[in-house]
Amino acid sequence: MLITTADPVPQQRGHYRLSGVLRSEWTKLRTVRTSQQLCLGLAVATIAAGAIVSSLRASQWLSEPAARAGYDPANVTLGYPLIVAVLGAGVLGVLCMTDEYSTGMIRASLAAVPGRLRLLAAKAAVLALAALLAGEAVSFATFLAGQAVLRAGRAPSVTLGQPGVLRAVALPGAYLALLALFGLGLGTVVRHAAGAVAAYAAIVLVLPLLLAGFPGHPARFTPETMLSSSVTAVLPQPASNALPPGWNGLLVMAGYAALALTAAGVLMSRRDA
Amino acid sequence: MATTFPAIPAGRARFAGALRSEWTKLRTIRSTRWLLLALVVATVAIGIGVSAAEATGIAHQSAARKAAFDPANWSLSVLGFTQFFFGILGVLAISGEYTSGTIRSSLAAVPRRLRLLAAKTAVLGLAALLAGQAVTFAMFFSGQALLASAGAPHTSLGQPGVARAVAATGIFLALLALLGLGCGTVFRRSAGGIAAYVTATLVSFFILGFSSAHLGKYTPVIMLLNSVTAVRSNASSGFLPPGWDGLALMAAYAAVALAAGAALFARRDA
Repeated sequence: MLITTADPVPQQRGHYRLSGVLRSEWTKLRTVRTSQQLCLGLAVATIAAGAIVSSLRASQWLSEPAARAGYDPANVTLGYPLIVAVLGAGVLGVLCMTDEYSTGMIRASLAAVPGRLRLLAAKAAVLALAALLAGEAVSFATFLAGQAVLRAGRAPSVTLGQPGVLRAVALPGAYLALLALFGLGLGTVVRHAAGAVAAYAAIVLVLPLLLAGFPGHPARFTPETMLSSSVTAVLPQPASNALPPGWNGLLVMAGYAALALTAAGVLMSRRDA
Repeated sequence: MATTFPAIPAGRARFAGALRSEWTKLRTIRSTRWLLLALVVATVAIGIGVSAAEATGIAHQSAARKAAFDPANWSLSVLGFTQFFFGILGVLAISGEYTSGTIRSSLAAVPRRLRLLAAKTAVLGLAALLAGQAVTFAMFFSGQALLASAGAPHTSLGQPGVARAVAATGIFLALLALLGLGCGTVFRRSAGGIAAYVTATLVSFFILGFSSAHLGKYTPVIMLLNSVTAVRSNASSGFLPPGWDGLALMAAYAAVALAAGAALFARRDA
């Protein structure tokens, strides 16, 4: 007997344009509990670190005249404390992609959005926006809390209205978003959380320390040093011929993030998931 | 009809058996084997590269700075940063079991959780100790050779305090691996464990090390950089004295991390 197959149910044609992909990526980022807890935990830790460092530096300012040279209140509250957020931004960026590989979700994602670059672009856009907002919130909160601690410790403090201060507080938020994109790039290249987080920490936190004694001061172009000594600074920082305060560090970091994402795009469009 | 099953021999996963199974895992899981090898090679290679870049500069320093120069400390201090690989080894020793699901077979074979964790700690600690000593001695000898060829002051293992500094550094690296194991046991995930380890070592170094010598001297990286690897006293700069103090404090940190890991491991589902 001949078996007649029923006409296939007319399927709705795929409508996953960029707006739909953006929406699905936003849902993923918003609803994965790990990344929420991570962001919240590290945001609180950053603000706490800012308060602790500010209190230590305030008492140094009062007791050791040597500590007054190059004292930059904005940089004191943001420079090193934001390193906690640096780690958070990178891990968030890495997990945003490696979680898809560890759960196998990447196959469902690619079945829904076969255009791999479109998927990566949507992920990058949503991650960058979320990290930018979170980064700005953390940066401003750390700055305000830190300045309050400095004032309470009777050391000089600054306000957002003073020249250069707003820039030193606002740019780190964008810088953290770029670090998250850098992490996303590494996560896409490595595809395993452990390897990608290790690579991120090695490049961002270990490399500047290894390069510290090298002739020609290559350490000033490493992500951590640019943030601690240039992007968050109002006055020029003496440490290891740092880049001048301002946009330079942000532009170099944007270059690094673009490189990582380009490598990610090339590999993702060639490899099997 | 009743089906009879062959009698199952009573479990024999005593501590010796648990140790043996942990040793088999460490030895045969390809990723750990490669990681151990990569750790030794990368740590030594990076160390030699950094030392080679700096050695000539030291030969050209002023006589006063040469007199204060501590060659043993200099050849080992890069380990303050490359210790990172030891922490990752420790984290992955447990988080790898959760990623792959082996942890459920491991706990079926060794239901006593603390026994399993103790066996893992012992085997990892021993492997990391051997790797740590290998790395430390290789760094010491290559660093001294670089200094000698650059015409800078150098030292040998026979000089007072030098053998202690080299041996203590290897033990310190093993303790860092155990700190990583503690972090991995608490978080049960590679990413979280590594992030926690990085926070405990590198982030604490950046945050406390650069803002307060008083608190910074108790952070693992600064203890390794300025006290455990040192022969000459750095006490005037506010660091812990060369010797065993830093090692003892690091052992306490590793013990706290492992105790937290053990308390959670004993209570949680796998």
